[in-house]
Amino acid sequence: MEARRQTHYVAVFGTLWGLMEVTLGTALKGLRIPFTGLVMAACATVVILAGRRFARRRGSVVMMGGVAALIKVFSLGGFVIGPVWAIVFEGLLAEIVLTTFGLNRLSSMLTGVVLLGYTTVHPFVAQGVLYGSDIYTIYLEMLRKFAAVLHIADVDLVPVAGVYLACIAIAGSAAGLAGLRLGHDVDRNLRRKRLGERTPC
Amino acid sequence: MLKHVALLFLQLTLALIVSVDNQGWVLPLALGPVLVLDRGAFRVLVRGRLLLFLALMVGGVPLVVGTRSADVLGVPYSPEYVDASLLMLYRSLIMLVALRLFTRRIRLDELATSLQRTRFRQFGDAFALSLELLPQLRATSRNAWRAYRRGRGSSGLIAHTRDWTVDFVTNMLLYAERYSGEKVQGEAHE
Repeated sequence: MEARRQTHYVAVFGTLWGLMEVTLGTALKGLRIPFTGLVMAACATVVILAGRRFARRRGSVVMMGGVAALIKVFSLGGFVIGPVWAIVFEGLLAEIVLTTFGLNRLSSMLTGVVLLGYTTVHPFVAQGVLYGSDIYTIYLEMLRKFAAVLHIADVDLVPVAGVYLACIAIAGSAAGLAGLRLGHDVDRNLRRKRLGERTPC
Repeated sequence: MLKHVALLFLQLTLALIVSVDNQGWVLPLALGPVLVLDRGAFRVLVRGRLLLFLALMVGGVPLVVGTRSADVLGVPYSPEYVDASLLMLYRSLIMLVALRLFTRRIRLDELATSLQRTRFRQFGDAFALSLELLPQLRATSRNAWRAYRRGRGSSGLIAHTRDWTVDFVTNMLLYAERYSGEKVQGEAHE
């Protein structure tokens, strides 16, 4: 019975994640809104953490990611390789964090930060898989060439990276806490509605 | 189902081992089945951004980076990077077409049933249930979106969005529970 219950929690939150990627993700990409990846990663964080409150078994987040990825693969918009891999990797990373630290405020914030941080490097990871490691050599060579042409080779990028990482940390933590809160609120609402269904007026 | 998985696995392996030396037999072996089974899978390549990226990779990169030790029509280029770019082109071509062929040949319910029979049974069950829930959840989400838009303005945007999300997810869980319960009862009757 418990296994069946866990399965349907995985199915519901995986479907929710997949539907969100298919509808919101496609709409944001279509509207050419910047930082779409970060917005989707923040939404995924919320769904994952809310889902983990119900599906507490080890591996449940990976399965949610698998369900969401398959929905995305077979969606009407066709197979877009980048977002599908992003979903799978996000599920895997969130599972590692949540299995290691359990579900609490700190791990929720960490999950958000890790997922948003991963989204930043995802294009490079995905391109590495698709094109091979030579792509990194080419990017580095191009970067050096353009830096030399624009005379920006000596510019210190550490402050820029620091500000960006701080933004990721704040946004990721907020998404993590929102997900934890959503799980809590849904749990309370669910109990109330179940009780309402059982109690005759 | 198994033959499609085997073909995908073979094509992905070929994509990983393709090199300048073996491209003569690897490319036909990897792309030949696609020509025979489903030429429509090649349509995955007809995307402006992808084509532009690949064109720049093969046509542009060797002109800019590396040791430009050869020239064509007086334009110097790096033969080393021509090879590297071509390999990247072959690899991405095989991977994209192979994955597209796989998703075009496989039906979702077939995939769910196959997963249920393997070691990933719990995942298969979750995926099968997800497919059964999908049409209803789509309808629920559309109705919920309309309700969200109607209710906006009565309270703050964040509070309204939070309340709506909580209600929406709760309703989805209740629906899934009911659906699952009815299914169990149906199976018990049978």
